[in-house]
Amino acid sequence: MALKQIFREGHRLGFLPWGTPGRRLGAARWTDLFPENQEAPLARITLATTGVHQLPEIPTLFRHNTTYILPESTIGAHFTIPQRIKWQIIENSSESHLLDSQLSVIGGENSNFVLSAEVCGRVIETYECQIEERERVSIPRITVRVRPIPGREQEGMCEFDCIQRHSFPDRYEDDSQNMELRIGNHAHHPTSHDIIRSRVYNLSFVSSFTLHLSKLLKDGIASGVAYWYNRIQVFTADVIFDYSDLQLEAISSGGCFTPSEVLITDRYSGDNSEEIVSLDLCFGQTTLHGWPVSYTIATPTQSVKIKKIENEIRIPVKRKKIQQWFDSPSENLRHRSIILTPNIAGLDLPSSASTTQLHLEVPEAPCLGYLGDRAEDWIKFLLRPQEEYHIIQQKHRIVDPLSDQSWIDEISPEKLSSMNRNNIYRGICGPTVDPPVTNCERVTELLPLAFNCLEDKVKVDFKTGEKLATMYGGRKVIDVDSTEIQALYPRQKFRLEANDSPISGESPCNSISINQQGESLAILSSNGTEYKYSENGNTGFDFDRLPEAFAYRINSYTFAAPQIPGVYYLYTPSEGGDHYLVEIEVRGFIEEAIE
Amino acid sequence: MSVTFRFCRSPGDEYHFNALGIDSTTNFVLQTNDDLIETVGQPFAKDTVATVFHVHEIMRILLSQLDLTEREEEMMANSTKISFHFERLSYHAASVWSDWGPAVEKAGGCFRTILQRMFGVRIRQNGWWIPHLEPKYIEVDTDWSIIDDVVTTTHLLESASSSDIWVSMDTGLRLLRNSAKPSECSESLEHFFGRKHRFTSASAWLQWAMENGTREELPTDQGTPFYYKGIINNEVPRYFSNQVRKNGPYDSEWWSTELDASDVPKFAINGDSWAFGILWKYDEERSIWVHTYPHLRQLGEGKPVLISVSGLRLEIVTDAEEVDEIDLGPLDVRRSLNNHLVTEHLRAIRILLIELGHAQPPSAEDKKIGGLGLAGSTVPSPFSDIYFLNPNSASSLGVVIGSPIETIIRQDILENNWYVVE
Repeated sequence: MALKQIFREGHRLGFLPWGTPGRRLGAARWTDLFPENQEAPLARITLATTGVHQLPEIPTLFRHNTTYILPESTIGAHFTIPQRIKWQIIENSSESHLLDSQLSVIGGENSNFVLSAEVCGRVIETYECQIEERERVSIPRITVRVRPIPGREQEGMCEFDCIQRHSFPDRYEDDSQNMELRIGNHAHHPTSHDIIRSRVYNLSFVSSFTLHLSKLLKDGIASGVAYWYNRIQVFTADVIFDYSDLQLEAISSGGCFTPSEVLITDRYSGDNSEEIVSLDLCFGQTTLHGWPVSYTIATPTQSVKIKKIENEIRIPVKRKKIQQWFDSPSENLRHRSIILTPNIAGLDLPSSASTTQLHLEVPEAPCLGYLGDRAEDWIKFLLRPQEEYHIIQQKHRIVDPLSDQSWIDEISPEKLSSMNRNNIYRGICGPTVDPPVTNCERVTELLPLAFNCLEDKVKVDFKTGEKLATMYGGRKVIDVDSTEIQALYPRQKFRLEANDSPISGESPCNSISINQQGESLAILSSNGTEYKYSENGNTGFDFDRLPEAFAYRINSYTFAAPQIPGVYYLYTPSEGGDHYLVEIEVRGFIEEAIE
Repeated sequence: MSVTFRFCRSPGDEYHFNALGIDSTTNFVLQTNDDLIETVGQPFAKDTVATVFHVHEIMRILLSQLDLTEREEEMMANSTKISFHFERLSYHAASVWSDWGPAVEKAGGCFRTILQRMFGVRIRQNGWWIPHLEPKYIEVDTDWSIIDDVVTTTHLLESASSSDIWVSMDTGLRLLRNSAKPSECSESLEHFFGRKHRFTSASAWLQWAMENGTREELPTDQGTPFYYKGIINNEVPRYFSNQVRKNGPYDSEWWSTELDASDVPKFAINGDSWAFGILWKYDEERSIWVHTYPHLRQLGEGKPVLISVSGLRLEIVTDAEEVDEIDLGPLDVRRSLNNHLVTEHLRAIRILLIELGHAQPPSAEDKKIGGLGLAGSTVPSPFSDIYFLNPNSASSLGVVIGSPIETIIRQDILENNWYVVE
């Protein structure tokens, strides 16, 4: 016979029977492989347990004096062979016991035991089981109206009735033996209870309660469970409390800060006794159903209980207090809350509390700065006194932006101050992100496709421009009165608005864009598909600087930011005498934003 | 000069029977599986339809008459001589029995294939072979033994009654009752099937593969990893590889791309959990899906263990004397061995799941052997399980089909292939 000898690492293992016409005749014969293979018993490979054993469902509520056969094995599944379950009672406050899988339940009402299920030597589940003496029968949910009892010696007493009628498939006894209402962890008993038979299978359940408001509204629980016991059964119903008759809305209160925001620089600068804001509080009724009403005001630093004097009160808040509030620990850095909680008949009602917030306004931090090791926290920088700004500015020879512009005196001091502050910060701080220029590869790649430079104008290819538009993320509205930095992205569109109205007319065409170094940059204007540069001035447009140009669409008052990231100032004079100046940071896309 | 041709009378039947060396009146029963044909009582009678048995018998007659040559202290027969004499005896056989040509085709077509099917030997051109001229039996069960020699049936009947032999006209199988068999010339069925040269169990096979495989990352460009489910229901798992090769693993309920899938079994080997995986790739040229890189994939971290020919570091060395043959190259041998390994791996997984009670084992009574992954080859030879058990009678009927030893042989072959048959 022909053979194809099989070797492994120089040793012959056997052969492959081989025949004409060059095909295998049969199974390989491992003639020389491990003689002990035939003698030594080899490990039998079994399935690995990769899943968990699944137990059949068992009840956890058992009737007294019954027996229950517990399942003997787990539920099998794909490659999980059912395994025998070893049941054990590991904790027991009853007289229940186990014989193999037969559970004998013996115990009083609510006595319990814990069953453990052990599979393959490991406890994989435990069951906390309860014993009921009586059969449990559910009846439909009950909604009860809680009514105040005015004039009682003890303030805050309420009354309500639990009534339900139900038709059962079986005949149950009407010998009412006990009734209780469980609210949270507490059980309450009625002043009267009864089970009344109206027909053979119809029973009515009636119970009346007198409870203090604190038993009902404490912890905000608005539901309970009612239990009516006869000799053999216990009838259970969920109970929902309706507090509308208490008219709690009459004691609701509210408040607000005026103004609602505090500038961060106001927080520390100036006299500590200066009144920065006022807190206006508005209260409801002084009494409700003859019960006294009071309020608790909780500030970040203290809690004060006040008896209401007038319907409205105004509390001045000094700078020192605001400093204390914002210096107190809180999860939120930018606001603090004042909580006003009403109290009736000695019970606080958190569900009727109102919250008032005082916000701390922090200007947006400049993002585009120079590389350096003089970085400083923005908040700390903001809190420096004005004179320190000048010292830093002089030390690092940082020149005020736009200082040589003829119209600079027309701009509000607040705006100039914020721009100067931002400029100093940029000068001394390292950028928070990598230089954005390096992150604009995608825009750099797409823009030449969108803008085609002709001899004296720029033609826009809107087809490829659409791709850019999706990257820009739509249009942004810039409030020209704001002292905030405006963050834009390369070629993102924006509109200039004052008092919610676009700056109209021809004036934007006369806008000037200026870079951080004080150089004037072009604004291209267009009402169609072609952009033109301003013909004013003697110098021609430098197409090489197209990426630094603002593009303006006259017919929609829409600007497009320059392609190159950086700090820009857009100055727009107005015929009415207003002069608008916007500080713009054009930031680079990060790769994720492009995708 | 002129030549005159004269017609002579053709030789009579007596002449042909004499040339064949058989008595046409010899009585014994020739069995058949074909319900439409009756068993034959006088198989050598004139005008009897020639069968596979007749072809085998002529081959035995030939070998018993052949002058053997002594080589290397053994008496050997030369294949050229066998071919010559088979053609000569075929002339006589065709003269006395009808349909000799179709019978030869059914027995294998040419003398080399006929011998291969009879004895599992491969006779090469100008090759030499040692015929078993002495009686040799393979004891199958308490009643019957397979006759595994070239002793002619005529000669056999001199020492055994016709009721002691059982001969199939369809397959040529010859059985002898143990009571009529000399005791000293028997071998066991276990020896015949080479059970000692096989792995003893599916666990043993996978354990060996795991211990001798190579821990290596799978290539990323050789196909998509799929994991074998082993079973698709709780019946006898029958995996038909050709269907998957044709339709692809994505449409197969046997394969999952998810290692963590609940229907992909994980096995505990050496303290870790493993699943069997393979890379499937579509072969555009052949328009079939091909599998490569059989491996065991460990749950969690760790490289897979490759258990292919290369992963097991197996090498194929061809016999030096075969070099002159029309043999196919080593690549085809490797491919064939790789297919064999994958068949073994897949069968091992299925059998583990049967052993663990997730599916039914095959029954020795069930004639269907498809999809069981038996260690056979489609080339008919005693080395192939299919050769014995193929229930398809259209081309090559399994040798033992219809015989008294069919069930016991099927059981033995299933056990050789690690099935635990009840």
